[in-house]
Amino acid sequence: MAAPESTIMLTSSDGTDISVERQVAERSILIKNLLADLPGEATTEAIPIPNVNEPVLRKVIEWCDHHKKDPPASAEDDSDSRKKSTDIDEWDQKFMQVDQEMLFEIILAANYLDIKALLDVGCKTVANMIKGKSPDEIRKTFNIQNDFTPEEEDQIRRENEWAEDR
Amino acid sequence: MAECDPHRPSFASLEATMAPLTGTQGQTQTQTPALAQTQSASSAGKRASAVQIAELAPNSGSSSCEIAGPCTESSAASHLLQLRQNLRNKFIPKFQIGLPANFIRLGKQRIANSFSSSSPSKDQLAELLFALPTELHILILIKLNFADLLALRLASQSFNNLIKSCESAIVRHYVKHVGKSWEYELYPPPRPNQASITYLINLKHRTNTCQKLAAQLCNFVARDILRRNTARKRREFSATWHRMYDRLVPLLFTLSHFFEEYRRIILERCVSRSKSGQNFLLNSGSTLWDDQMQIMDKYDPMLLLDCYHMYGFMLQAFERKLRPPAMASTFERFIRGWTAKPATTQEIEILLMLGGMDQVQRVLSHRTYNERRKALDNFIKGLSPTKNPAKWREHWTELGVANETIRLDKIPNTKIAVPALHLIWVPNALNLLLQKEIIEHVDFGGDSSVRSTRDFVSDLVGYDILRFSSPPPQPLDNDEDDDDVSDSEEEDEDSEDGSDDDDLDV
Repeated sequence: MAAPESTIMLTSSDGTDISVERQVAERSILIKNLLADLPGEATTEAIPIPNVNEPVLRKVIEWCDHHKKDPPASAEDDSDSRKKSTDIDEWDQKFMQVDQEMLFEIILAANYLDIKALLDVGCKTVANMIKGKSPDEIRKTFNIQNDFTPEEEDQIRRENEWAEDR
Repeated sequence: MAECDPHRPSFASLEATMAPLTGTQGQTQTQTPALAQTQSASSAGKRASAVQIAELAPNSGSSSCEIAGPCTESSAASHLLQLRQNLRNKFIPKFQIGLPANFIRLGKQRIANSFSSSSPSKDQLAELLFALPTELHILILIKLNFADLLALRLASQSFNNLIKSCESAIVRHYVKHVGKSWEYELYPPPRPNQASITYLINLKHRTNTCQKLAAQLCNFVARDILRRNTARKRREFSATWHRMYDRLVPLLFTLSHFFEEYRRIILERCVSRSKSGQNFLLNSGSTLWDDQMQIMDKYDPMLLLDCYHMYGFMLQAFERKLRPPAMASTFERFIRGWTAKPATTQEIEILLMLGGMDQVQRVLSHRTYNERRKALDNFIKGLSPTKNPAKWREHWTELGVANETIRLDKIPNTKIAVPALHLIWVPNALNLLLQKEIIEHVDFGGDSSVRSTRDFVSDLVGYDILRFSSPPPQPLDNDEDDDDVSDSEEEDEDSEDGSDDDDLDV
């Protein structure tokens, strides 16, 4: 096993090599498992990350770097955090202030690289765009039209009222 | 984040700016070298097809076939449709501000699903969200409250479908992490391949009903029994109130389950005996002992014991709210407008058996005796196809009883036999409790039911209500709740009888 301070090389989808502290890279379960399977000397070779391009990969590494000291999430934490509301800590909130395309790229990258906590933050950010809004406000946020027929809309509205307080 | 030009030009202006498009192709690639990779994958022919679509966009109808026609090569029709949508919704404004090249670039990008930090816009958000794989949709949706899910499914077809595509996972999440175990024990979740959001909606409705009814009954205890009829006294009582409330909700939920099941059995039996030529009739009928037993046997014995008391208490509260106070004189009844006849036992039977906790709660939600009385009347009349030819179907649908056996069109020919109130629940529950040796004997003498209810309420509030309650009040004070006196007036009236209430809070 390599020492914790050793660095490894990742290659983004667009061919850029990025050097990362091993501890940071191991926030990704995908990379961690990969490194664990490799013999010690093989870790000097760059690991291709074919699904993530350079800007997104750098962003993800930035997050991993900030969270490298976090304890690994246990299965129990996982269910707990899901139960909890969509609170996001301040640093993560700032981190997620990126354009929408980047946000979704980060979510996809976190999913691919298997970084649960980052995926969680990403999904919470998206969920917060919906939370507490009326159907009309949701339409405005996503710039979509109400494309139900009056009958369809009425049907869903009645079902909803059944569940809500009248 | 850069916002798109907010104003929407007409399609006609788009047509005018369309001409230079083909000429700006080379420029596009030099402008954005990062994209060269993805673009090089697509042939020049494909690029041309994108332009063809662009030309179609201004006069596009709603069907996708018109664009699927001219371009049969690599990219799928859905991509083209998506591209066309882009053109219509988003990139049109860019033409006007002189960036025609962008539209091809961004359009292509979407096709290749490549990464880029290009200028985002509002419209992209929905596309980006819908493009995520289902497992990520689930992760996002389970972070929402139930109310958010309801709002979301009402936003648009695509959001409604999004929720539908994840509903099995959402149900699983709710059963595991949200809500109470007793809810899922009485109403086990459907199998994963049949689990739908409707299951959660129905469950939510039942819980809401029981919560509201519990609050009404707690208020009944606080005001009518313990006379906590000022804001100050109610504040002091608040902790007890909440303890009571938390205990009542699961009990009412169980009762609600019982009545729902029992009603289904009764109706199925009655409807199956319906004959054409026979008229709709609500009459008293026999009790279905075995079926009652079967339903009750599912409940935990201790829960059953609590529910037994709960039932008695709820009935007393309910009957009390549907009859003018016995102490009121004829003159007083007239002055107060309590002219409505008190509810008969049969009417209460019908409401309880056919309406369940849902209707009990609705009737109790009215503030005055007359309103409650009217609500009870309306419910019973509303069920009859002869008395209410216009709306009876609606009312029956609201009860949620319609299924393959209980077909609504059979109702006009059905005689519905409503079992007597004292034969529902109580004898069977006692029998079961005796069998399971939860209780040793039944004292049928005199005031046993009254006493058990008193004990039950005492147990709820945490002290003996008879030992500590105030002396019998004057008839006029007795029924604040039954007239239209508002809360604030009540508070002014009786702030003086606090003397013996101090003992109560020990």
